[in-house]
Amino acid sequence: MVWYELRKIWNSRILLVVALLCTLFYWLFMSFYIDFFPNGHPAIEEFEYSNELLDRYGPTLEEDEYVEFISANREKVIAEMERYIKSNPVFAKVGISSYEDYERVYKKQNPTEAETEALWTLLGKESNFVRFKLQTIEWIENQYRDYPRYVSELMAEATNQKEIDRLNAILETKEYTNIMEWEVYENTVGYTVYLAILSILAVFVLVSPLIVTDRARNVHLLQYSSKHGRKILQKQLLAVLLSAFMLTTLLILIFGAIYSTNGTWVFWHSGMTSFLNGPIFLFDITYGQYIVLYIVLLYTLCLGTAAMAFLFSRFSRNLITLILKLMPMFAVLTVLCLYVFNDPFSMNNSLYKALGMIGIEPLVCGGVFIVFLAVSLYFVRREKEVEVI
Amino acid sequence: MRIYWHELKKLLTSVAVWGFVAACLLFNIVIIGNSGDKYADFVSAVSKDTGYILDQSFYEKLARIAESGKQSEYLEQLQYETDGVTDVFEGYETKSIGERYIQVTGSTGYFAKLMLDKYSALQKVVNEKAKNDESLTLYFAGATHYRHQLLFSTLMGWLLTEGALVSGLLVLLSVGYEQIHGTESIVYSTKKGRQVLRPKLAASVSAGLGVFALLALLTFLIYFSVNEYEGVWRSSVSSLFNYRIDLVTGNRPFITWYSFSILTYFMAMLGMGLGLVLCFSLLAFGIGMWVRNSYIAFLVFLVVNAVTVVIPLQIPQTMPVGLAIKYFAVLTPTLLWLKHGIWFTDGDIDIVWKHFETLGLVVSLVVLTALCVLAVNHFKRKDFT
Repeated sequence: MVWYELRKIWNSRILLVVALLCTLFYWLFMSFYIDFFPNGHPAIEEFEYSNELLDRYGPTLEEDEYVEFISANREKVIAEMERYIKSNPVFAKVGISSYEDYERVYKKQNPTEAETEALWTLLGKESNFVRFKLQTIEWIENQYRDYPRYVSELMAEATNQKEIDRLNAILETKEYTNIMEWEVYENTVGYTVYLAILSILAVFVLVSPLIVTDRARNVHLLQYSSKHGRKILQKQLLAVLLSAFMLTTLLILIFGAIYSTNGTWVFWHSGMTSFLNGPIFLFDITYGQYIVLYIVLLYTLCLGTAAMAFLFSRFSRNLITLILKLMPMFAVLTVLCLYVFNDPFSMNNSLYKALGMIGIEPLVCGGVFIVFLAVSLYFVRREKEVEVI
Repeated sequence: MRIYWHELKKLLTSVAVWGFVAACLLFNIVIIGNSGDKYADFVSAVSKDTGYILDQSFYEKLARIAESGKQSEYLEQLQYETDGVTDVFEGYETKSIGERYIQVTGSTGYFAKLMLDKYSALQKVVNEKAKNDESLTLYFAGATHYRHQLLFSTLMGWLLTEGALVSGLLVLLSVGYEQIHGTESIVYSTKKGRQVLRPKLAASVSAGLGVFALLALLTFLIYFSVNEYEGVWRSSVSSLFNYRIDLVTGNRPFITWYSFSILTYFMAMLGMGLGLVLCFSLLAFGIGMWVRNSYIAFLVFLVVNAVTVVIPLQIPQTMPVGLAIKYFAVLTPTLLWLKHGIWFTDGDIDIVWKHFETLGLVVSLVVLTALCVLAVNHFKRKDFT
């Protein structure tokens, strides 16, 4: 019985439209995160050095490793800069003959046109963007050195004890020594927010027409007089939920595979609270655990969306009135996605900032699922006694 | 005419339609609710006494207000912002904008010439504006950019989106009504037969335009009751305080082809908005004729609009055909909708046409009307058995 309902949902015409919508949505909103990652300089250097750190020292960076990395790389990059300075006459023209000369001009308030040209030479392709490499090494150095002070400042500003305890724990356990690069994190967040919006859209488009199509043509009366009787609505709810689960799985597999080409999976075991990352997380999780949690939340939200679509479909007279009801709901769920999936599980999350509740993200997604599933089940139960004529 | 009214009644008695309109209105109210700018309201209130033209009389009246003891932080800010201002159009060169666009896009030949022609024509407009001291008007002084963007970009943009969606859905509801209710065979075998499409189109288009107009009326009633505009309605939108953010050429003045006050620009935007909503209605009608299932038809409506945006983005601009597609795509309803914030101006790097919004609207209406005629002819011969 459920199988027949599934066949009605997964019809070729709707699947074609869903595929088209997904492709267009990907091109409009998501391809940016693949085509432009890492996005320019010094993001490229930051990503490359974090990869190197991870390769050499594993998911955390200890004090001695930090000293070794900074000094070795600084020397290497300065030597590279010197080579470019000596080989290109543009530097000699403005009296730059060494790294120290270059830095002196770099710090000048109003450099001349020729000096500006020389400065940009080390920031450009012809010099392999070598000055950006130095800038990144200095950034890593400063971040590692200043991070405990930054956490202490946050502790001084924190208004609740839980945050103070968490920040204290980060300092005591040196959790901030995790190697997790912010460009990777920002990119993942941006991509996953859009994937969540796309999944909701796809679930709405796929499962919504099932009930209303039957009801618009009074097929449900025929179904109710069959052997299965009014249990059909229960089966339809099951088919809707199953379809949402299958579609979400498919979308996660397809768009996850596309995302894996970015190579961010190397950070799988890296802790998210890191001296190289922006937000501070409310508990100690790795990038891999963050992805798994995101997937669980996405499934929950998509199943909640499917239950919502089932309800609106049950109470719509035709497909157009159904769309008129679904559009505001899609807008609400889009806003919800922006709040839930932007910096989730961190102190930067807007919902956390507004309500101060740890774990607000699963609560919201779980709430949507439980409320709409409970209401759907209530109406499925009520359908057994309702007057249909 | 009787059928027209019956069709209109069918559409406007739908609770879901009014529920959607209410949801849109609520959304607009949320935007308006977060839009308060006390300084802009202050500027508008002061301009009732000073006038909106930045001439000698303005400064004298402003000084008198300051002397009368009405000292406030906002008054000082206004005096500071208006002190010693000069006409931004005096000696302003537009040629370099066109040249920069050509350099960045790498366009050559016909399109490069069109771009240069556009900016040489704009130079005449700028000279005229300079002669008339058009930029020496107050608008909202330092709060101008924010408030201009809020009304003409954010609020108008959402209103157009809502109008396009609701009008498209009303057309699809009307066109698919018989199919939805299984009354096709009866209706099409009557004396009127498939000619019923005419009153259906007229009813659904007028319902769509009517709902858009109602939504705009209610939204702007609320907007103008919350935000003060009384003293500045006749101020020019090309005020020296108004500017455009252009990532290619840098921030530059807001130059319109014609001299618009805030009021006339607002009316022109509304008129253009109605035209654009009509385009989306016609597009939905054409699709509704080809695709009988109204749910699929709406999804196709979305896909068609998305394709219009995606194709110019995906085709490499290094190819001449890529540039041609990009420049012609601007004349489609979807791209016109996306560019609503720069209607009646010279446009941006994607636009080589003078008066692109008017040209785009005319082209869209002609093409979509032809599409509808074709679709109706196809529908009349369609076999329903």
